[in-house]
Amino acid sequence: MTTHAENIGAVSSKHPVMAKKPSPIMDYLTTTDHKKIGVMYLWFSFGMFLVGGLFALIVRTQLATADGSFVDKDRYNQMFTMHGSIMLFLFIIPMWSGWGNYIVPLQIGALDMAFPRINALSFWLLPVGAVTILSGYFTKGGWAANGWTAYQPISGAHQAAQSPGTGMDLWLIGVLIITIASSLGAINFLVTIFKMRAPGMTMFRMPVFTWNIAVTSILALLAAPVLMSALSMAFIDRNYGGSIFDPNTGGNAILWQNLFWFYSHPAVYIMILPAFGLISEVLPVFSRKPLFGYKAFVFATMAIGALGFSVWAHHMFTTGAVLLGFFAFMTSLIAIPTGVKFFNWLATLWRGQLSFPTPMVFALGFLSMFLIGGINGMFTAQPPIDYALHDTYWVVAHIHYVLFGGSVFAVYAAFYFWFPKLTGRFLDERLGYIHFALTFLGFNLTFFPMHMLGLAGMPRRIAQYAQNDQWEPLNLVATVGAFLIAVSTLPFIYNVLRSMKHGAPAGSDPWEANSLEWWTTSPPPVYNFASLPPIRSERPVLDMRLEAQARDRLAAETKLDPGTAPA
Amino acid sequence: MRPLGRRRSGKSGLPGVRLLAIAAFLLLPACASTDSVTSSGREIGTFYNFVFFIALVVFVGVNGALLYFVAKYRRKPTDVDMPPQVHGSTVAEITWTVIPALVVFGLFAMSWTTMQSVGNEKDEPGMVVVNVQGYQWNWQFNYGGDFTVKAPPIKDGKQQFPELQVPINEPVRFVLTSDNVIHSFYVPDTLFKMDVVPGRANEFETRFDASAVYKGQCAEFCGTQHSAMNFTLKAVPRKDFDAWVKDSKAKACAGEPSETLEIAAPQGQIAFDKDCLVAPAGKPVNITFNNGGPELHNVVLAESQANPAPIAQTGKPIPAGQQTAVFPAQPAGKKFFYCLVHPVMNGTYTVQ
Repeated sequence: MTTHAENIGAVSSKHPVMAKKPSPIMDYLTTTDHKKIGVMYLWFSFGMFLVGGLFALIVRTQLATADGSFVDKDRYNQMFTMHGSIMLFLFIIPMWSGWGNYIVPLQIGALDMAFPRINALSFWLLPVGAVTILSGYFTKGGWAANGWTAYQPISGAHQAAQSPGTGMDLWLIGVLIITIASSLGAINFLVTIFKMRAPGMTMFRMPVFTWNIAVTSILALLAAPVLMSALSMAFIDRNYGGSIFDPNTGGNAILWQNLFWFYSHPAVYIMILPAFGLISEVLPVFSRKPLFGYKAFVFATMAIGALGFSVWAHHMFTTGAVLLGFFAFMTSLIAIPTGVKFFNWLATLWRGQLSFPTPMVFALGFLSMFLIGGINGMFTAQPPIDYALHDTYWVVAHIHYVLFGGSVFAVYAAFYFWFPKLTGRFLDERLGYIHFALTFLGFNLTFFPMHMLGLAGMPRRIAQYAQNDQWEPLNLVATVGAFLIAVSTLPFIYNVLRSMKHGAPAGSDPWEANSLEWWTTSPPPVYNFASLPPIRSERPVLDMRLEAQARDRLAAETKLDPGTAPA
Repeated sequence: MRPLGRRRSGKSGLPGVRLLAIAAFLLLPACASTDSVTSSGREIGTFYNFVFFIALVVFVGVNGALLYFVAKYRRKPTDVDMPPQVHGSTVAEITWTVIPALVVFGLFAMSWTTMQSVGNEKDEPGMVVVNVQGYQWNWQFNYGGDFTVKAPPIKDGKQQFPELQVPINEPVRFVLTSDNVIHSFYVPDTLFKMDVVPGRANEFETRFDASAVYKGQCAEFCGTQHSAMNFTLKAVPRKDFDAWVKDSKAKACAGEPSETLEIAAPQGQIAFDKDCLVAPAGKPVNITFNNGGPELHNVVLAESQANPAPIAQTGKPIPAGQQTAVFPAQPAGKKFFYCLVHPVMNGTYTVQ
């Protein structure tokens, strides 16, 4: 069997499509190349990160002092709603889709994604969804304002006087579009990973990042339809008198929560599993060791994915409408595979030869910060403790230690790790360290005090609070931290823009890494691989490096002692 | 390895050390404020502190190992060949699956036993039952149908908070209902909250230890004025509580009966201007209702809150204006009146 690369290599240079070079804009608008689509995902979702961050700054400015009145209450409610919606649906999930798009086909030695046009469609649906949600600003009542969870019946038809009119409808449609995009993407990833692996790339030789994208895609595929139906039901409730979620007309308010969290809890794993994968790529490379317990790691990922579907109601412990014991037990179980991952990461470092370029620093930052996100999850998993902490700032701290301390640190690690592959150039290391220090400090200043705020009884989603000796200083610290996080993005943005043209040249394998994406040139050609190495383990590029070293050594020895040269 | 890697390894320990120092400094106060004022709250606080202890062990253990490895296994310039390529160990994997599993099962067992007692107290004769009703955007507290504590009317454009009272050292039952959106009844000092869900009545019991005034607040986002949905809870000794109840009952609805009654709904409010009407026994009554608008209101006379079938009403709900009607003669006793559109607007109709 010949490889894709050989097939394509034979025709590419003289292919009529290649003969005429389209303008870059038309090129990106019409491309079906997974790498270009991946790059567009990255630009788009990082842009959304900045937009969502702006909303967060408004939230933090309002809360900096007691009786804050930077924006009025309705506008404030829109701010935290947009912050959450954008960060989850338009930043973290698409960001990992972007990295998956770019990296997965390279890691399995494929030419492209299985369905390149569907791939383009699932990307282009995202800006459509984003514009739909954000256009709520121009309607009467403004953006949606009921939180990214859009609980019912407050988001329903009968509360029209209190919840914004059209903004809420636009939110429902926008999220629906994004969810469709994510399902299409999931199918594409799964078919690509199952059907397009290069010869020799068995499932258990796949890089862990690819494994985690596969499990993530299964989660997205199973969970997204439930959210789609819930969103449709809410839309019908609001516009056609559906009476599904409003008890006053015979509906059930808790039903929404069950449906919503049936998607949105797995969605947390959709946001964090790719981060686990990325970390599992970075740590072995900079420890010069294989990932400790590769198979255990893969099984732990599957276990988290499977358990992820049986824990959704832990978001609803205080509703009084939950089988507490079952969901508390299943939620606690998730600590076990997550613990396995942590121990495997630590064991990977153990007796390694560690070096600390920026990707490694961010990966270590991930380990220590996501650890806190895991630990404080142990508290809220216990229903009695959750009675105290639920709906307070403690939970806000928890989700940010998981999604910022976890996902965002991993996203940054991915940028520093794979930027040389995308551009052929390094990001500047010094700016990278500054970026890390600011992010790390700002992040902890912002979110750590929120644990104490939660214990001191500050509920989330309040637009104002009266003077309170405990809450005020903690809130002020959090606000200072938030602005520090905002500042921390500046060296990063400058670094990216500058290094694209002026970064130090990187070559094809700058980190002495393991997986196939490092085999091809940086950036890779349209057809990805001119040739593929034999794939005999989960570290084919390392195998080739060792083979080359062995050959060199042999040659050197042969020179020293011609008598032993092989015939 | 390229110079990039080597240059870096010199200052490698720094981010880790800084990280641990900051985290430890910030973590410690997190266990400070778990004292509670109720029986359930103390159990939750104790359990919290226990989990905090485990959390601290895990945090220090994992981050300690991380820092130790970062300091100890730095790549030296002499490290040309790769370190031993350890691919894993079944024994290790089993160990670090089984041990955390045991911890998790232990935690769950504690969680389970705590869960059985938190929010549950044995029924006692004469137990105080507070019916908590959340609405957009305030609370009202009804004591077994005897009287209802409501927020004072909005003053200077500011929401006023209602204050409920409970006796100390005995179980009190809270029954939570809402007629529009979800709220959550949360008194931070009790380390407890429960959602107030339309379409269901959630219940819990607890026992307050000491006389004090506690702040309470809605914890589930419920719209524009969510942040203003506050209340205070005053725990007092039984004899003070009894006196307060007697006083409230008396104030609740008594006075000189009159054959002409007036009641109004102030402009822009979902509230009547009074929650008590006193009518003479055995005589019909002329009632005048003024609606300041723009909400739809009327006044309905009914047997009780539990039996709201209209006996008479001032007319169909109107958005603004005046209605007059005659309520038929009633025997002495307590009746109930409310607005057909907003059942939360209600009061006692005393016939004496």
